[in-house]
Amino acid sequence: MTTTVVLPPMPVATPPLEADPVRVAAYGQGLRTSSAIFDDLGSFVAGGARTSGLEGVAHDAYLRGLAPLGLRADTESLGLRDVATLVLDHSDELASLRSRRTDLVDWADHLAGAVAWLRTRAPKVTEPEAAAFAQECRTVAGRVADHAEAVRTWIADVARAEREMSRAFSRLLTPEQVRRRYAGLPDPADTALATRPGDGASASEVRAWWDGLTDVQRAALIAADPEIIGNLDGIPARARDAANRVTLDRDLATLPQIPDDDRTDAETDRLANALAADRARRRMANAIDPVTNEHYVPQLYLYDPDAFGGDGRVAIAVGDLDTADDVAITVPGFGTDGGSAYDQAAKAIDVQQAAAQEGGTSTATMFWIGYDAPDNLPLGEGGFDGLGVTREDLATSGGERLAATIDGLDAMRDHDVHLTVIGHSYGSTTTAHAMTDHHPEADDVVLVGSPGVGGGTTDAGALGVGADHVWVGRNSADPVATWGDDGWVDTYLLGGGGLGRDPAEDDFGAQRFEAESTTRGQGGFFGDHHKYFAHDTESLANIAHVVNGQYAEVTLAGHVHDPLFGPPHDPETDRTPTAPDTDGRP
Amino acid sequence: MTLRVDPERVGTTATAWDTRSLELTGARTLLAGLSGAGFTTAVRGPATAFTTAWAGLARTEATAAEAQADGLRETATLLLREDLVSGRSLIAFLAQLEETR
Repeated sequence: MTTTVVLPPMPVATPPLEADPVRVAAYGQGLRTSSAIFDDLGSFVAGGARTSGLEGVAHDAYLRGLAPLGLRADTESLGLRDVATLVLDHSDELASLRSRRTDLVDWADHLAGAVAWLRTRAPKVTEPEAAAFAQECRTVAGRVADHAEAVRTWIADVARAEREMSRAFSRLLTPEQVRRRYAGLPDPADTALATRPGDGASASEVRAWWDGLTDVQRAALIAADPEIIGNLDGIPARARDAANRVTLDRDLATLPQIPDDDRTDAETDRLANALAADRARRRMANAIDPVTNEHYVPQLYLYDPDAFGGDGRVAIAVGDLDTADDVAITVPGFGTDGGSAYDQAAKAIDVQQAAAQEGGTSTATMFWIGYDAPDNLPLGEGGFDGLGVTREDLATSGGERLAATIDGLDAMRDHDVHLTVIGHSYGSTTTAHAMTDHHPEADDVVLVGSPGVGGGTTDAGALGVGADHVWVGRNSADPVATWGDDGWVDTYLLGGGGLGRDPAEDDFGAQRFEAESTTRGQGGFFGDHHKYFAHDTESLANIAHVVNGQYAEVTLAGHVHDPLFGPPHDPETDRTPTAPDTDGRP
Repeated sequence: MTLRVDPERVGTTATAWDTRSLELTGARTLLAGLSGAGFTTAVRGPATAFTTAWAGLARTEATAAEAQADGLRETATLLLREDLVSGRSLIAFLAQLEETR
C-alpha cells in the first residue's frame, strides 16, 4: 500500500502596519484640546457675552447677531470632540492591531520552522512511518490554514479601522456638514455634570458617580470640563491625566497668543505655571523606566495653575497610579510652587528608578505640589517672605489637602495599593498633619529633613499607621532637621514659634534610617538638606526599600538623644557614610 | 442725562471677545500644526484634509469674535457721540473702550 503525503505550505506573510499609535494619540489630543477652545466660545456666547453694556435696540441687535455664532460654536465643539474621541480610540485600536501583528509574525515563524522540518524529514520517511508522517503534515497544514485565516481577519480589521477613521474625517469638513449632524443635539457633558455629587462629596461618592457614566459622557466631560474632572479626587488617574492635558495644552496654545505687555498678572502667572508643568512632564517623558527600559508616560494628576493667588498646584506621576502595586507621593516643602515642578519631577523619577533598582516591579511615584507652601527659607534670599516656614497654618491646611489626595488615590483604584507618603522639609510637617489630623489610607510615612511634625504630636503612633511604619531620614549635617524640638524643649508650647517635635528623636518612637551623604558638609549651609533624594545615597536607597515594602532591607540608624544637660546628641554624626547603588550606573 | 451705553461694561465684554479671538487663533495654530504622519497611508490624506478644514473653521470663528469686539466698540462709540455733549467727557468714556488686545 502506498501512502500519499502532502507537505504543508509555508505560512502567509502578514503585511506591515506602518502606523504610530503614539503619534495618532497626540493628533487626537490636539483635536480634543481644540474642541475645548470651541466649547469655551460657545459657553461665552451663552453666558458672559450676553451682557453687552449696550441698551435698548442696540443690545437687541447685538443679541440677534450672537445666535448664529453660538450655534456654530456649540456644534463645532461637539463635532470636533467626537472626532477627537474616535481618533483616540483609533490609536488604541492601532496599538492592538500592532500587537496582534507581532503575534501573527511570531506564529508564522514557528510554523515556518515546523514546515521546514517536515520538508527536511520527508525524503527520509520510510513506508512504516508514512501514515504518522502524513498525519503530522495534515496537523501542521491545519495550523497554517488557521494562521492564514487569522491574517485575513487581521487585514480586514485594519481595512475596517482605516475606513471608519477616514469616514469620520470626511463627513465633517464644512460648517454645513457640522450643522446638519449636530444642530439641536444636547451636550452629553451637560447632562453628566448635572448629576455630579456636591462639593462636600467623598472621593468614593465621586468614583461611584464616574463609574455610572457612559463612555460618551466621560469623554465629553474630559473635553468640555477639564478643570473639574482633572482635579476631582476619586476620578481615575488616567481620566484626570486626559483632562489636565486638555487644560495644559489649551493654556500652552492660547496664552502665548496674548502679547507679552498685554497679559494681566493672572495670565502671566498662569502661563508661567503652564510652561513649568510642561517642562516637568517633558523631563519625565525623557527619563527611562528601568523596568520596561522605555520612556515614562507621565500622568498629569493635578493641574490648577491659578490656585493660591497664582502660585499654582500641580502633581505629575511616573508609572501608572491606577494600577501600580506600590505608589509613593513626594510632598515638598518651603520654596515650592507651580514653578518648582521641573525640580520636583526629578525627585519622583529618582524614587521610581531607585525602587526599580532595589527590586520593585510595579511602582508609580508622584510629586505633589498641592498646597500653599511657604515661599522661601527665612534665612534665604526671600527674607521675611519665608517666615511662613516657621508657622504651622500652611502645613495644617496643606495636610487637609494631602489627606484628600490620598483618599482620592485610594478610592479611584480597583485594587488595594501599598501607599507611601514621603514628606521633605516643611512637607514633612504637612504630611504629619495629614496623617494625625485626618487619618487617610496610607501604609507608610517617610519624613526626611523634617523641621518638626507639628505641635501637639509627641509620638509616631499618632500618625495612624503604626510607629514601625513611620520612617525618618535625618542627615546629621542638615540644619533644617535640627529645628524640631528635642528633649525638654517645646517651642510650640512656648509660643507656637516652632514646628513641633523632631521625629528622629528617641522619645518620638519612629524608625530612623541611615541618611548620611558621602558629601556631608558640602554644598553650602543648606546643602545636606537637599540630598535625601539624590541617587547613590543611603537616604534614597532606604526610601526605595520602604516604597517597595522591603522593610527588612532598611538600614536603621540610632536616634537623636537629648540628655538633661547639654545639647542633643546625634550618633550619626561620626559614622562614615556609604553610597549604595540606586540607579545601576557607575 | 441717561446714557444708552455702559462704557466700562462694553469695554470688558469687547476685551473678552478679543480674548476668545486670540484663543481661537491658538486653536487654528494648534490644528494646523497637527501631523497625520502617525496614521496608515490610507488615512493620512483624510487626516490632513480634516485639520486643514478645521484650522480654517477656527480662523473663521476667530475673525467672527474679533468682529464682535470691534462691533461693540463702534456701536458704543456711535451712541456715546450722540448722547454726550461735552467733548471732554466723551474722551474720558472713549478711553474705556480702547482696544487692548
